[in-house]
Amino acid sequence: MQTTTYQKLPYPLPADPGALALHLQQLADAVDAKLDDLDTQWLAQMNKPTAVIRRNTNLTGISASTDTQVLMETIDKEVGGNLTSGQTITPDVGLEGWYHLKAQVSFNAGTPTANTQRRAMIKVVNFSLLSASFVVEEFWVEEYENNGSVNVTVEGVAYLDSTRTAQVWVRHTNATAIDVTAPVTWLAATRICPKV
Amino acid sequence: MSGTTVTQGLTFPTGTDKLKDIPTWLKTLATQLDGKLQSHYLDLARTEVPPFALLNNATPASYTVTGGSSGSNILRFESVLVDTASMVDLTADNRVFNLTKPGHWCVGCYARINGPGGTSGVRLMLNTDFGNTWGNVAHHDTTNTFVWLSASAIFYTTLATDKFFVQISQFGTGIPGTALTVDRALAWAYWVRDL
Repeated sequence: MQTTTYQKLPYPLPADPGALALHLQQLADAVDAKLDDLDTQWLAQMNKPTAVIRRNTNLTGISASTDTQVLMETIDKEVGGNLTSGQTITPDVGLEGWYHLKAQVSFNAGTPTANTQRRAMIKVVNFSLLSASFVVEEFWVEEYENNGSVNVTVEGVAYLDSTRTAQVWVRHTNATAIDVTAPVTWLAATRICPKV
Repeated sequence: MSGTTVTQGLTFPTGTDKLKDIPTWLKTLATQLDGKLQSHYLDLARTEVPPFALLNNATPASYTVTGGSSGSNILRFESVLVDTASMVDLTADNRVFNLTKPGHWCVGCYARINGPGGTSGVRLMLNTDFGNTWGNVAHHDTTNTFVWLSASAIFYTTLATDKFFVQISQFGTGIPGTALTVDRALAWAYWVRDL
């Protein structure tokens, strides 16, 4: 018995024409196993780890000039594995890699102050470092608002794993407290590639 | 004389084949299947880790955005965080992503820009060397010193030689000068799918 170069498929020696049925079965079994493996891997590949999580109730009374985390509350979609509990994006072991992150935050101020900031932030926090959470990456986008309501989107690419989580935070300078409103406040993540 | 299957050309015996030729026929079939399977495994590996590059710049850099020479407003980068397909050569040109494969690409950038002030605004543009702007975000700022912008776009190319780069510009009145400083920039390009 010999095997092929790459996938080690079996075939008989030239001087071994007997046991044809056995040779055929061995080749068919080997091809079957390879096709099954390819099917499994293709399915995983087509099912890229992706999640969209959303705020489904308003987060009210956010004070000015302080970073405030917006915990999401519901999973819109999660495919390719366990990426989230619904509050943040934290890939399970085996799903680590480089992720394209995008968030939208919907702000609403009951009493808007002209020309004040509405900042949406994606923070990547490594909570395995020392005893405190540690921000290893941040993406900010800020809008100025005169009328009270504005949607702010922010995006970036970052490495995530089971100890590096993507979170949404906000900050503003309105004179009075403002709200972050559902359901158009969300965080989405899709893996570009595994760790390389 | 062996026959072959219609679409993949796999060998099989016919009624005139001799028993002693069966090992040779099986070797041919096994080799053909080996090549087909290997091709699929290589495709799998290629799509698991697509062409992808991520560039970073964390050292404040000044750009001439009014009256400068051509290309003086193209963002420059100092480090390669990821490059799976030899898309970037910072020594040769620290501003461009070489899009090494035809297909659909996602390109994007995040930047913190310092210095507009007045009643000016700043703009972030995702460009390719064949002349199109694929992403364009602008921010008009009346009171703040810093502006943060992020944008991404998906476009396609039929070539394997296109380049992607990011430009900044400013607009409005009351512009304090001809230069802007970019404190932080992160840009990416990754291949999404075939044409």
